[in-house]
Amino acid sequence: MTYIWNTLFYKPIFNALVFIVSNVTLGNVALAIIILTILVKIILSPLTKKSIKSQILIKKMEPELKQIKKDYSDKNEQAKKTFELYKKYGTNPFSGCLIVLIQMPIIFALYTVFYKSLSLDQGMIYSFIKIPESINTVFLGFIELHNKSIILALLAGITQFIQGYLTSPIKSKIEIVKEKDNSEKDFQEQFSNSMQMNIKYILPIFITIVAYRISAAVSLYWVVNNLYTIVQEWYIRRKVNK
Amino acid sequence: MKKFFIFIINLYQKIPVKSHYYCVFIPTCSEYTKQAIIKYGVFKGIFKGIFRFFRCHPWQKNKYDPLK
Repeated sequence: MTYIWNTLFYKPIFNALVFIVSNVTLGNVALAIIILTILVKIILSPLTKKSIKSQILIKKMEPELKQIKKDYSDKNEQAKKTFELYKKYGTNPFSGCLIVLIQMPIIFALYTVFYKSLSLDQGMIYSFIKIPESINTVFLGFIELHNKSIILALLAGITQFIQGYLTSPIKSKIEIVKEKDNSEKDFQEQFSNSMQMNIKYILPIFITIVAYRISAAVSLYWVVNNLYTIVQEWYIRRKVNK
Repeated sequence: MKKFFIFIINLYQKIPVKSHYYCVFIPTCSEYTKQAIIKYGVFKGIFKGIFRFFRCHPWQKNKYDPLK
C-alpha cells in the first residue's frame, strides 16, 4: 500500500519539487514550493473549474429552484423541472462526486511532500533528476522554512477566511431568521446550523494554528493554495456574470 | 449509531465545501445515503451510499436516482 502510494503519487511530486529546485529556482526552495503548488493547481483546474461554475449558476437560479419545490409536490416532477432548469442555464457539468475523489490523493501527496521532505531523501529521487548542489531554505530573506513562522501561519488563516467568504453559499436573511424562529429543532440540528454560521471563523483559526505548528513550508503552501483559489474564483465569476 | 451517522451527514450538508457542487444526481449522494441509513440501517445504508457514490461520475446519463 505504501509502495503504491509512493510510486504513484508521492515520488512524482517529490521529484518535480527537486527538479524545480535544481533547474528552475537554482536552490531556492520557497520559490519552488510556490511554483509547484501553482503548477499542480493548474493541472487540476479543468476539474475544479466546472464545480465553481455550477456553484455560481446554482446560486443564480436559487429563486427558480425554490419556486419549483413550491409548485410541484411530486418528487419525480420536481426532478424533471430541475434538470430542465439546469439545461436552461447551461450547467452541463463534467462532474460527479468521483471527481473529488480523484483529486484528493494528488492534493494529499503535494501536502506530504512539503510536510516531510525538505530534507533530501536521496533514495526517493529518480536517477535522471539532478540533485541540487546547494539549497536555500530561507524565504524572503528572513523566514526559515524548517522553522515555524507566525507571519505565514497568520497569512494562511487570513487567505482561508477570504476564500471561505467567497465560496460559501449566501443565505438570504429571511431564511436565517426563519431558522432561528423554529424552536422545535433538536440539539443536533441546532448544532449543525450554528456550525454552518461559524465555520467561516472556525476554519481559518484552525488552519492558522495547524500551519504554525507544522512548519513555514506548509504555511507557505497553504497561502499559495488559497490565493490561487481566490483568484480562480474571482476570474470565473467575472466570466460567468458577463 | 444511526443518529450519529445522520448527524455527520447533516453537518456535511451544512458546511460550505466545494464538493456540494460536484454531485450530478437528484437527490444528492449525501441525501441519498441519509435516506438509505434511515430506511435500511447503518451498514446497508452506508453500503448503498458507497455504491451510489461510484455511480456519480461525468458519464452518468440517468441523473434522477431516488432511493428504492
